[in-house]
Amino acid sequence: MSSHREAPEIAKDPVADSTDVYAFVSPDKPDTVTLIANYVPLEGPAGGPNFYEFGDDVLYDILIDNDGDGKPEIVYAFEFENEVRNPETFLYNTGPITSLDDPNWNRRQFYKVTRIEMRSGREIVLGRHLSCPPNNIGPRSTPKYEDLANAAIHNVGDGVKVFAGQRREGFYVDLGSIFDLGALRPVQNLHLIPMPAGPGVDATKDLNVHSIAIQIPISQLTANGRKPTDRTDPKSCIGVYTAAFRRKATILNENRDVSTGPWFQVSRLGNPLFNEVIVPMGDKDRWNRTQPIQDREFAKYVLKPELAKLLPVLYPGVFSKLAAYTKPRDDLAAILLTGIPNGVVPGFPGNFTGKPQADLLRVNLAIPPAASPNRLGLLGGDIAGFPNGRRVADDVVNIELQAVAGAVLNLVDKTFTPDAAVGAVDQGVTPDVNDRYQKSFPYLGTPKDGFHTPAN
Amino acid sequence: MSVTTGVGIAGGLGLHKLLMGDGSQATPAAAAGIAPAAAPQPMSSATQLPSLDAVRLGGPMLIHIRDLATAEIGMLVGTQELVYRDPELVARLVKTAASAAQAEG
Repeated sequence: MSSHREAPEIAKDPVADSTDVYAFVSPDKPDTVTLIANYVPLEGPAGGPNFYEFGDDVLYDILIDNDGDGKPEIVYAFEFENEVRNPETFLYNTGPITSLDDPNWNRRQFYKVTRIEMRSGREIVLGRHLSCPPNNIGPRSTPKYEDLANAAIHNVGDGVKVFAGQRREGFYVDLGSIFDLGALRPVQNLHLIPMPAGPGVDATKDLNVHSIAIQIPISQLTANGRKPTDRTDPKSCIGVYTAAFRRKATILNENRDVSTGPWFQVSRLGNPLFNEVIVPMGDKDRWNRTQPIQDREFAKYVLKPELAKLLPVLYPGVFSKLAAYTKPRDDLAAILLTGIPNGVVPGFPGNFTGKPQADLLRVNLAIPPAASPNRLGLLGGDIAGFPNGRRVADDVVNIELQAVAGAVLNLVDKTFTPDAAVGAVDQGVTPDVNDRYQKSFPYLGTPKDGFHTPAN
Repeated sequence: MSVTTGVGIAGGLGLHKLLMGDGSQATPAAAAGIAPAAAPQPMSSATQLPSLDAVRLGGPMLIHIRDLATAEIGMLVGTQELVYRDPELVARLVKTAASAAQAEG
């Protein structure tokens, strides 16, 4: 998965487990950028009676580096609180929920969002007691779910919009096949343990997730306070990641647990699949507890990725050129750790932010949204897509698999010729974008309800 | 008996200041709200304890021994961790814990 249950410790703590980060110039409002951090992996829609929610004991951050030093200059912090109207019932709702203040809704969640400007230490509370929508339960409990979700989009001033609540999972992957020894169903006839080729299976199409989404005028994120126009200027690029924190100690009590001590980072995420398939098992938990600026410690895993060694073994004879390549993978280091310099990819002015190596999702804010997005992003010739930021429908699995297989290695090392099969590295999953996503904020689609999707 | 002075609850770095440093949250000098270890100062009797009537901690306080060898104690309170050394206190706590463990069999 992109970063769902990607490390042993955080897999035990779903509400603090970041699953995906998206950062893109808003297609319907190109003077803004939309940042989304997803948490709570693999939500089955029929999640009652205690439906999924954010942790009221977790601090969630979306962090932005706007000067290329690998450290955040701007942070949006989200803190949640629960409100139970009637503790005498076991029910989440006692009748249809038709509005965000409907008395039938028993267990509600609210949040505070704060913008923190790191240099000055200035903290601006953008909104307090903002409502989350309920989970999408079913036609009796949440009969007009879209209305509830739309009511939970809050304008908090200065052109900023926020939403926090359940959404349909946007990340798509053939999970069951990929983690069965790296099998890609469309080409599994070429696998070391061959089976007949077949179409991929979208393992997440009926699952939900909890999203924190914020849409911000671009001028509020750049170092100079202006919307950039020079596509080749590194100052036009920002790096984004999310992190979740818990208090350092929790004392369990019969009635209510109490926590104390400093906030301690337990999860982080920039680029999809970084901790998932780049960082080895023994370092995954530590990676989650370090900051991006420490990623030079983990650069060795990017430069010599295990997956690049596995592909030629799992697909004998298919990746002979990749197998013979022994030099450090500077192409992957650029994609994941520094951004891609101008001039490397023809037609792409780059999203290089500077020399510090840090796993950040980098987006060049001077590049407008694509009129016809290609889900293969930069690999498909669409410079507004991953790894230049990440849109909700970008096929990050195929992009990263092909990149690891050497699809763009020749751009940084002219002596390398990609294997002919690299273009065939395909998980074979194509989502129906009109069904899965929505065209406006928060862009991730309406969550599946438990009544109609009871068996996930 | 000994107590430690030289550490205070106020004045620690906030969470987000941590992010501007080298990023480590395990190193006391860089971690949020962790004060540097201070040497214990002797105190002759309990009558020297300050009045606690006006103290407001705003939540639970948890003390743990971070390192037996150096008698380093971490005090978790509010959103801070204060670190100091108190060999006498550590010795008494360890003896008590050992007795309890022995009694438990």
